[in-house]
Amino acid sequence: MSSKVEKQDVLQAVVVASFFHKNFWPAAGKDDSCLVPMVNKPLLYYTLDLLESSGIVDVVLFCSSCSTDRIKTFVRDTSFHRLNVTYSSSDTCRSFGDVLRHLDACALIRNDFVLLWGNVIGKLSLLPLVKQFKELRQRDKGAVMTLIYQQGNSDTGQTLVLSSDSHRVLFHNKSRGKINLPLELVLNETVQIRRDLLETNIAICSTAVPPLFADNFDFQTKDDFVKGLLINEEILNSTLYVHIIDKGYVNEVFDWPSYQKASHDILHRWSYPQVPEIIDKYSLRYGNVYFGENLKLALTCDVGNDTVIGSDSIFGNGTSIFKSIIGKNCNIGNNVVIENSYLFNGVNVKDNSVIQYSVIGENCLIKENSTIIDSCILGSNVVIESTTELKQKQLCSSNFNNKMIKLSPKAYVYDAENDSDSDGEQETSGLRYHKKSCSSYSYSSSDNDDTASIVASIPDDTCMFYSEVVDSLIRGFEDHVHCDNLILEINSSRYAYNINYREANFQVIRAMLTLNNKAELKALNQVRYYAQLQSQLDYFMPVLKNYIKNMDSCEDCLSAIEDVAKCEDMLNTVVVKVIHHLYDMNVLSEESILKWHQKDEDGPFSKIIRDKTSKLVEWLKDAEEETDSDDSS
Amino acid sequence: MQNWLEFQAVVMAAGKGSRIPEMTATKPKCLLPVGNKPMIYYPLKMLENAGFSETKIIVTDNYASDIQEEVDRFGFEMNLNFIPIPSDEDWGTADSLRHIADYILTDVIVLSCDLITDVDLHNVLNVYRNNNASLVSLYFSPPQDDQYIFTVPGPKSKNKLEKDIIGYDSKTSRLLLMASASDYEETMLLSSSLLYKCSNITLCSQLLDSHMYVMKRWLVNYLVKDKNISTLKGELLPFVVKKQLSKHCKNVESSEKFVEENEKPDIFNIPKESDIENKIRSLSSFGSMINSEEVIKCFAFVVNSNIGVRANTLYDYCRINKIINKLNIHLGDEKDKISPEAKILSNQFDRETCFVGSNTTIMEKTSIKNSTIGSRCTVNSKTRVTDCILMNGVIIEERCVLQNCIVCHDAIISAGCDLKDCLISGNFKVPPGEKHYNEVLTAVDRLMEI
Repeated sequence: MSSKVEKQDVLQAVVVASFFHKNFWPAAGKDDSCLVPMVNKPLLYYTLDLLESSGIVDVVLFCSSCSTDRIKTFVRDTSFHRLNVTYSSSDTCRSFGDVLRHLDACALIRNDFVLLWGNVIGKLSLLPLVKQFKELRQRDKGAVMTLIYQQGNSDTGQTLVLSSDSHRVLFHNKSRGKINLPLELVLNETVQIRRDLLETNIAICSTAVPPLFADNFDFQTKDDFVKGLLINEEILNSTLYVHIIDKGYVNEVFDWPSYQKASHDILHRWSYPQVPEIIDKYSLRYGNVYFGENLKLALTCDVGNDTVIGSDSIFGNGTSIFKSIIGKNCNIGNNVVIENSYLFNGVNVKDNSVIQYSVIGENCLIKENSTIIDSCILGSNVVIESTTELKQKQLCSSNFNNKMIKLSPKAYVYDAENDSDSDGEQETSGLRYHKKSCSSYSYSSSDNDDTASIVASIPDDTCMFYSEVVDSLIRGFEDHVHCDNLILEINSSRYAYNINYREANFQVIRAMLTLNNKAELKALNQVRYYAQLQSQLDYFMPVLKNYIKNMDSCEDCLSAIEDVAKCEDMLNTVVVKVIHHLYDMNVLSEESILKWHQKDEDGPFSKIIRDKTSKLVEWLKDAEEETDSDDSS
Repeated sequence: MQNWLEFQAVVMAAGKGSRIPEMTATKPKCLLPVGNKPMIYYPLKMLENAGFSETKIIVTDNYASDIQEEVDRFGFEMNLNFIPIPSDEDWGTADSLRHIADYILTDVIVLSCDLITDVDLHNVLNVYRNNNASLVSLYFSPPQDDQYIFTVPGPKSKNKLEKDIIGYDSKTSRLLLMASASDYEETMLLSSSLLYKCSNITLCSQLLDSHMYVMKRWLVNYLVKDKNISTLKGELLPFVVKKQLSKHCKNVESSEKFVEENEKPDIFNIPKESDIENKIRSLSSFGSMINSEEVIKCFAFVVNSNIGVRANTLYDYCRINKIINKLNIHLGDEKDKISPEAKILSNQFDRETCFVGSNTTIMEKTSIKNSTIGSRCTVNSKTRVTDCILMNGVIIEERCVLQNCIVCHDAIISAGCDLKDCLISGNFKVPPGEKHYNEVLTAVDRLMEI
């Protein structure tokens, strides 16, 4: 048998080690995302380990040319003895589709091959699957790809419709919610609608796959490929199949939430044999605590569950760590709190700092009394000055595109909002970051936040309306804006915050009586206060007349006066005068005043205010009788 | 015999057989012979074998006495309770069930008279019991083996089935979707609540609905309340299956509404637990867990291995007649297959594959194979009968050749006829010497009635 024939039979695996996304930025760049440390080992390690353990020898590793050297060094240093790695790199590739077109052009593929990204962790024996695929090709010449999915338990959001007996893919939908299934699919055969399948990013492909990408230059991603093949099934004459693994563990890491999940799974040993003490030198303690070598831990330092501490790290007194992964050569000071965070190699944290739900890149220095919480992501070599507080920020050590806000000489904050030319690519990274902060990090707390904000938002509208009215009125009074325009302004705020008519009456009167702020009030004495209030009321008379028109609105007006007088002594002293003035100006009807006065309210204040106004009310009654008698005479 | 208090059985035998009008013009569907017995015999036998001691049979009033007379001849040990319903009002299965609601005191099994299967009823009941189901429906997988390919008598026509789409949970076989293919145009919409409920749904359009339903007593109560529902399969089942997905809010308001407007009763207010269930729950350490259980749970029982046929179309009727021998149903002794009162003088008569009724005369020099011959028939000499169904009182004169034909009751085939793949309707007389292939021979005026 000639050696050439043997070479034909060797199973190849193609690893795409360039992700074409910036989901891990700034902790890892666009090109070397596959080297982002996952439990203190580069992500690519897990993928290559998976291939090695499944018996694959020949590996084609695709990476962008700028990261080739780093990846080559890593692979050489890690010594995958059984792997025969061929590197392939290109500068022009901008997407997964480009990579396959590049492979097609290079003619590196000899036979059916395993295609996977450099972000797969877990264990899977691939050889039986390839054998199955070859058998499948005997039955169905059009079969080009078997997608490998992991059986999950919960709803994954993507819908796959498979033929029940052959597991052929009939329909694919990535979005959540309802789906529209072509009826003919159901009528022809029994189908399964699967929403419990987790993507593994591993596929077994025939040699037809790279040419298909080459022929269809609009295929950018694997999803495009799947979609394109399903839509043009007759034209392309290609079919897709699915293989579901129901035992073992395979997972992919594509953004921070999945990174967290995978780290958690590794620490909890789901990914066995890819667990810290097997892939590196760690000792396992109770509660999934993994200690590296040469640690210097202070006696008083508290190491909680689910923690990995890389070798040669130093921990100071009173420091507590919980559910975190600390890289190698880290130096953590005294009384530091680290929770649910990922510190890469060589991080230096000074005393009394707090790090929660954050990623700290390599060789960062965090000085004393700093607080870094709520999904901050620090790139490498960032220096945080002492007593800095950071929340939901992405930081870099250098201002590489002049769009960063300078925090300190070696810390620049990425400003997502002001990044004017942020294209779709950058948007996704922002989204991931957002997703990380609210959905995955702590479900319970984010849920609470949501409900709290809903509860708060209900009275908020009224408050907002009130403050806008106050603003309008102050500006109107100072700039002598015409009252009609003010009415227009207030009405538009009323619609904006969906305030009903009576509430609006109440709030407008309240606003009108509280135009002066506290400082101004102090400066005024009682007489001058009333003079000013009166001048304001006179100025706003058209506004008042617009809102106070009938019995109900008079009632609102009076209750607003009562409400304000209750909290403000100054007004309290002149409340009778105010009501009288409004009566004189024909804003309040006497009927409404009498009615308001008769109404029994609880609380001591309402009694006081009614006592105060009783004189006015008696006068009103007299006046009424007089007019009555005038009428009768 | 064990007295079952857990279930009551109802056999729906008032179907008109509207899919096979040629045969049912003058005879009720449930009395059409399958393997020398009226087809209603099979569901009744299945119930008796399962241990039922009482069965209600819904029949139309115009055929009530005929059916009773026929069924009584088989001497069932269980009590048969015939309930006539008006034949001139088009009552559906749900209407019939509502009619007898007062007599239904326990959970109920509803069967159709045309169901012929060798499935063990207990398996279905166990699914019902294990899941504490509200409703269990029995489905048959489509026949896999193609050895029963045959031509259906009558004009060649595409055997167009009304396709039902059934969706059920692949793991628990919970029934989640019931729809008819004709409800949709090009695409079918799967709601997000359905997808949320179950992440692994099997959708199938090939399953055969057996029309056998095991259901809770409260569903009958619901039927009594909601008078708009007239059929079980067409209306009640899709409704109940769909209601599983909707959220049930237990507010007082809804129950008040329910009192006010009786037209639209809330299905969630009907289910009531029995005292014993309440007591079990209060004593169980899982009490709080079970409390959150859903109220409505429908399950599908999909049978792969057994044979099940609903003989409601010509195709299925022929098919069951051809395979009835092979079914795992006890058809009685040799004397039941070939009546001792029959006079068989033929020497080319295949005893293995034929059924012959009483008082039938088969003359010499005839060849009979793979055929079912009813009672009071006469087959004269020099005649060949292959793959045929002859109902009661058929007279075949001399020198006839019949192949793959269905001859309905009291029809006369005159001398010298050659018929292949034909259906001869009741009381029809085929004139002598005629040759027919793939035809329905019927008196025109009789078909007009339908």
